[in-house]
Amino acid sequence: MVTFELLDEPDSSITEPSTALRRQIQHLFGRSLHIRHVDAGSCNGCESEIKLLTSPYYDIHRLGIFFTTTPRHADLLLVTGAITRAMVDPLQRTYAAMPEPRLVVATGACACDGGIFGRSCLTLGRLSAILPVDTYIPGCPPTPLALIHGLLLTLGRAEQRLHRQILAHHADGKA
Amino acid sequence: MELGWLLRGWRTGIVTTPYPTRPDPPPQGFRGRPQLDGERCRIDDGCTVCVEVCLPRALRLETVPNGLDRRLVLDLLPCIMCGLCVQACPTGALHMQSDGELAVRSPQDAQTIVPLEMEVSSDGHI
Ligand code: SF4
Ligand code: SF4
Ligand code: SF4
Repeated sequence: MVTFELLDEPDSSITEPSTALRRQIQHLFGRSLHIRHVDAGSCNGCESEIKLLTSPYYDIHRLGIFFTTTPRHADLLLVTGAITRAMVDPLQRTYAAMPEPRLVVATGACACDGGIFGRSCLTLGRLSAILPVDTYIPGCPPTPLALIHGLLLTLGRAEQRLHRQILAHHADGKA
Repeated sequence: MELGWLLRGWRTGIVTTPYPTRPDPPPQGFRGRPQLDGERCRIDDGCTVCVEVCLPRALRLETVPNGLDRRLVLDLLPCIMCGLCVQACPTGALHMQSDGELAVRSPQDAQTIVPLEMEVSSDGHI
């Protein structure tokens, strides 16, 4: 059954960090970044890919990117999972404990826009509902290379490849 | 014994990926992500096969804010890259493409949109 609904555009004042702040962050964190990873209801698929980032093959330490176990030492909050309601408060407290300026990255289909779990009585279905998200890394789960690209994009060390595309449409047999 | 390990390390060389300095091609069999070709899509003729098979509603029909026109949207953010839509599409308008650099700064950048012009009566039926 096909359903129709009104567009649900996120409020840009909450979700868009200012350009000046973004430039300042890129200047400060360009070559050194510490990540705090928080699982907010993930199936652990995303975690197994994130874990590979520190393996000898992907080795993000060579890029000056490290994981830390405390938000007080972190510059970037990496969130996975469909944001269960039980994790909203811990997530907000983690964000509050991080020193400014701070970055937030939504990882995987779940944190980006609900994925297979979506919005329900138990999940918010997207990270942008509670925190200002700087970068979205889609994929279920995203590959380690996609994660590296997402992190470098956040730091201004990579360019974005995808852009909103509005396609011309000509169905066959139409005038 | 130690010499053996040294030789082994020397022969193996560097195993770390060259990415991001040079591209690292995905392994064989990597499915990638769906891509939509607006020229071949038959949504104007009432085809909604892909919209029906997509579990996370990454492919959906949306009402344009003017309230009259609709559009088919392929949104990569909720997409789980399962490939069901590619198998289901009768015209081959959808195909899987194995590119890995999908991160975006704004949710809108992950969308591919096919605009649609149809007569919509006041009760919402075509
Ligand atoms: S995006 Fe996919 S792999 Fe990651 S937590 Fe969600 S369901 Fe699991
Ligand atoms: S199934 Fe293929 S032809 Fe039909 S609406 Fe989807 S993309 Fe278009
Ligand atoms: S690949 Fe799967 S989740 Fe993505 S648009 Fe197609 S059917 Fe939907």
